[in-house]
Amino acid sequence: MEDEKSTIILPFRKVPSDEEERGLETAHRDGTGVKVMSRLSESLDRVKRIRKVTHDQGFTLNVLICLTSSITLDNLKLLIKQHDLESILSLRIHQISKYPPITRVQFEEWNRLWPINFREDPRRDSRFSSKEIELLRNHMIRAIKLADIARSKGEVPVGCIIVDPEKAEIICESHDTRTSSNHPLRHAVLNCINKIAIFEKTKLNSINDSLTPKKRKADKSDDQLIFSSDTLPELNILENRENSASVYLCKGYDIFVTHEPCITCSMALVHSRIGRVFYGRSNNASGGLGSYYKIHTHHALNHHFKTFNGFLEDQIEMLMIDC
Amino acid sequence: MNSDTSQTITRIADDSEMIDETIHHKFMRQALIIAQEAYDSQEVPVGCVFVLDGETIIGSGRNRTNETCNGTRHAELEAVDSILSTNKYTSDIFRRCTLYVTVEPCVMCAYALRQLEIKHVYYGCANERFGGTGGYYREESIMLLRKFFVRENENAPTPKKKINRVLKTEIKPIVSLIPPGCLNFCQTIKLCT
Repeated sequence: MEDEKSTIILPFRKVPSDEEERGLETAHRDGTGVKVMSRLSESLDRVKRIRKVTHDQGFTLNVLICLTSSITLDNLKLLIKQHDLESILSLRIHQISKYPPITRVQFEEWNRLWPINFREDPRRDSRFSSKEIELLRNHMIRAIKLADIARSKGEVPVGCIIVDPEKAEIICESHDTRTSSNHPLRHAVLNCINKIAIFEKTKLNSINDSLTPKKRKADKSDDQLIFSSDTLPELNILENRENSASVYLCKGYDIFVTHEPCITCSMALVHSRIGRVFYGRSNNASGGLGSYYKIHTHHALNHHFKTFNGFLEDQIEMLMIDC
Repeated sequence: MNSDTSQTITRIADDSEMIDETIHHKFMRQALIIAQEAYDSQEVPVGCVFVLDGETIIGSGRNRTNETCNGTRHAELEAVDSILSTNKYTSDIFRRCTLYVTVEPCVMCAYALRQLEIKHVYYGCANERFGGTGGYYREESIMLLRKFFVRENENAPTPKKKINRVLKTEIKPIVSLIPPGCLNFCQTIKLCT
């Protein structure tokens, strides 16, 4: 099973963070010919301290002492002299990686320069079984279908669906409605988030009503939201989602959207605590998940999620649109 | 709770007499009153008003994220939706509008305002993570937020117990490179390019 997972060619690509994409950058460290006790080091977690170099006459040990910035070369030489180590040490400056590696690719490349430590974060790993991919593909096909429906109605052809991956259930579907609603922000993603919220709110009200006999007044704000959903495809929300109390916004859900969400929609997905995002075509004009910004990996934000792009891109390519 | 409300609003009313109020202070005061309403309804206390041609308030909004079970129902989006739902205005109207909002808009709202081609945005206190230069009724906006965040949020997946939290009243002065007397116009962000 493991083998099967690792050999599958994914029909989409992970949108990596800047740190994951980072090339090799170096920081100076003094390397020496033989082992000495280090007294001058600051944090050296990311690098191995000793490197063994084998050659015809046996081997040499290279030892990292410290960063070049932590002591001047003269002072270091003086220190070596004081400890009577001059005869066995040949001091030189060696380049090492400035940052700890995050991906295996970075590790393998950077490790050649000087051995570094690497512990792969299993949460970063994105493997899919062929069965999973088939399911994901069907969801994306559905999103494309919704984009097509949008186009036939004269809307901007962007479609999306939100899925509960645990139960493989479609929670909600929507497409762009900014033309018919005369509202520039009725994007597919925002529409989908709003519909889920309306459903959750209705459910919450009915729970509250059953607990208290008093009937709650209809919410004005809900009406405002509903006016836009008249034109949307049928709500496909499953009535009996168990454990309703644990449902919090879009936590743990997957969203499939034909085009890369704009910056507003990307941030709306952060606010909604989305689980994963799959999209097809990149949006070079205002894409927030890879093209213009990488909101899903931004350090200053309080929620992060995995994003995959290029999913069924060929099929979406014909729906030419940048929004 | 009620005494809280009256205290804050009285304070704002007092301020209006004490300081030489500009038109911006006047509109920000309206936004702050709406933010107080959000606070009183257990919502993140952010309020805003949209002003047409620098004269008339055509819409207002406050956070309703808890009430609507929707993390995207921020004050700005609420106001935008209420303005467009009246069918009195088309979306072109925002090109003539100035927004007064008690707290610096988040990335979602900022880009939404840009898509609406809003003319100007004035805000009360900055989002601390992204720096701050101060603004209209900054201290009131900060205190309202602090009061909110020492309260417990029952809507969170795992509500945090905040019994030991105390409300800080000290507000750090603004560290700004902009010389005083500049009318705080550093607060004006022109979102349209």
